[in-house]
Amino acid sequence: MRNTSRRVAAAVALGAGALMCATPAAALTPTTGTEVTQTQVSGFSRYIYQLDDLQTTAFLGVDECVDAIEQDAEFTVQFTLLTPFTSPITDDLFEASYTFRVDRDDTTAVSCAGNEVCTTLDQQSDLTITDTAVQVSLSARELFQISDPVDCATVTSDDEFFVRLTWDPDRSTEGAFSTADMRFILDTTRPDAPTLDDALATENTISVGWTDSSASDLDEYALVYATESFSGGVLPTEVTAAISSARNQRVANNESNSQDVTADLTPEATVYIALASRDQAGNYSELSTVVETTVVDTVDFWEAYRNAGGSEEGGYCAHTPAGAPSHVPGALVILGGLVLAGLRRQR
Amino acid sequence: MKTTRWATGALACAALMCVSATAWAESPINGIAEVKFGGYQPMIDSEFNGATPFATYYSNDLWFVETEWDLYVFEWVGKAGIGFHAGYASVTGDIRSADGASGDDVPGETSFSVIPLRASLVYRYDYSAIHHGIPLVPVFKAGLDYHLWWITDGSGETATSDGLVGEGAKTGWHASMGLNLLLDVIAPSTAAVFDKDWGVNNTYLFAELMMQRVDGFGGQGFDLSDDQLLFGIAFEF
Repeated sequence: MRNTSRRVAAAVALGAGALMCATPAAALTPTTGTEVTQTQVSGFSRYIYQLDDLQTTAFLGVDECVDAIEQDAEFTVQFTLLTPFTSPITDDLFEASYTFRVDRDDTTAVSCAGNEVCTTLDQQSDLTITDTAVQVSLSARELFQISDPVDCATVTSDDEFFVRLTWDPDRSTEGAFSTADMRFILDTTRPDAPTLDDALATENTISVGWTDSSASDLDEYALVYATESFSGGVLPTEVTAAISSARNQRVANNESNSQDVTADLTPEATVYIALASRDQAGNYSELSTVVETTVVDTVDFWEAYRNAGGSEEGGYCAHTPAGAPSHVPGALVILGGLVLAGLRRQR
Repeated sequence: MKTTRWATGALACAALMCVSATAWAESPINGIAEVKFGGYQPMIDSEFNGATPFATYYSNDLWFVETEWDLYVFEWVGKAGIGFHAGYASVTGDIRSADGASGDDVPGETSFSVIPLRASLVYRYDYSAIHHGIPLVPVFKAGLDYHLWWITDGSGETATSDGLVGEGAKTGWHASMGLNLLLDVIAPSTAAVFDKDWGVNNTYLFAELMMQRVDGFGGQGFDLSDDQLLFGIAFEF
């Protein structure tokens, strides 16, 4: 991408009713003005647990928060423009972009004009405009207002942070404004643990049934199992770090509240199984109560056939009566096809 | 001759609609493609005196589908050619514990799958269908078989037992006879359009009785033989 850096003057903040925002709920769904074709976040990606399908919402959990604050990570939100702004940028086109925080799932509309809720970013250092995009750069500490990474683990929060770009596409002081947002959901609240109701294990499969966690932002479950004993009430990562045989398998949050996962276990061995919740920001709950069970020795059809005295041994060589070359049938097939194909050409 | 022709025509009309010989498309005919379906139960348990491991694990028949491409190499009274077949059949059953328990107490499944590959000599008696207006075509086939098979364990991987991997192939032969019903008689104008746009000269529904003996020509091991009744659709091109 060609780089032409220019500094942008400030634009006016939004009037809640004068803008493209349709409803209070839509005001807190990240907005995308018609002039913006894509919103991306870069330079910060390794601190993000996941992005939504539209790439306008980034989820951060406890681990990502700790890393980002420790490293004072810098991130850049890029708003790619539909039409390059080739004419000179004037003061009535853009205003310094804003950041603001709302509670998770709060539907109250936010207007930054004269609103102390919004923080105005530094006009000179935080915005960069090229011929195809506008970039907003700021640090994690500045955005989340956290300076000590310890707070990520000790202060539970579940908030949404918006980075908003505002402009007037008609360059009219009384015109309608367009906005584009990037939303960061910082969730340092761990979900509740599920209840592991039952667990069975065979050499190849662990089957579990559970009662759901009450977390409203539940994403999936994590099944932790090991052949060494461990206790519930701790994080899955603590178990997998301490026990070499421990494994962590993802389990989908499904309607049946049960699932079979693939495992590699020794028959008659004792296995310890527990379940944890995981929310959309990647936060684990503490593990459920551990279930101890014995690995059932199973017999599949091939083993049963062989145990019954079956003579099949597998393999791809053709079996023929004793004394005959093993590849005769295949050769006959090929030979017959060649002969008939030749006859067809003569037809 | 006139009496014979009248009787033949009357017989055909009693069973089906009569059709003029001019209903058939004009473009050249090179071969025929078939898709057929049916049940399949290999005779694996025939190896044992009393034990039935296959029936124990797989209580249902395998559902079987096969495609076939025949190329005509000779035409006189009917058409003769060579055919190449590829099919697929699979069945899944519950894994069992060492003491024979299954179901909710023993999670996991084991499957048995087969890909039959065949080469055939094919003869189709469509002479009466073309020249006498009888839309029934008997078909006779015979040839050699090479069937790939494999078994999975509870993890979905290929099963093993005593170091032997549960996959392989069996050879054998097959012979079949079938009866095809020419669908062009039902909608001759549609058939003509089908030929013009897609090159399909004739379309048939058919039933086929196939006898397959796939046991390595009497060798040891799996017997994948079965007698099958198959139903399908064929497009002559």
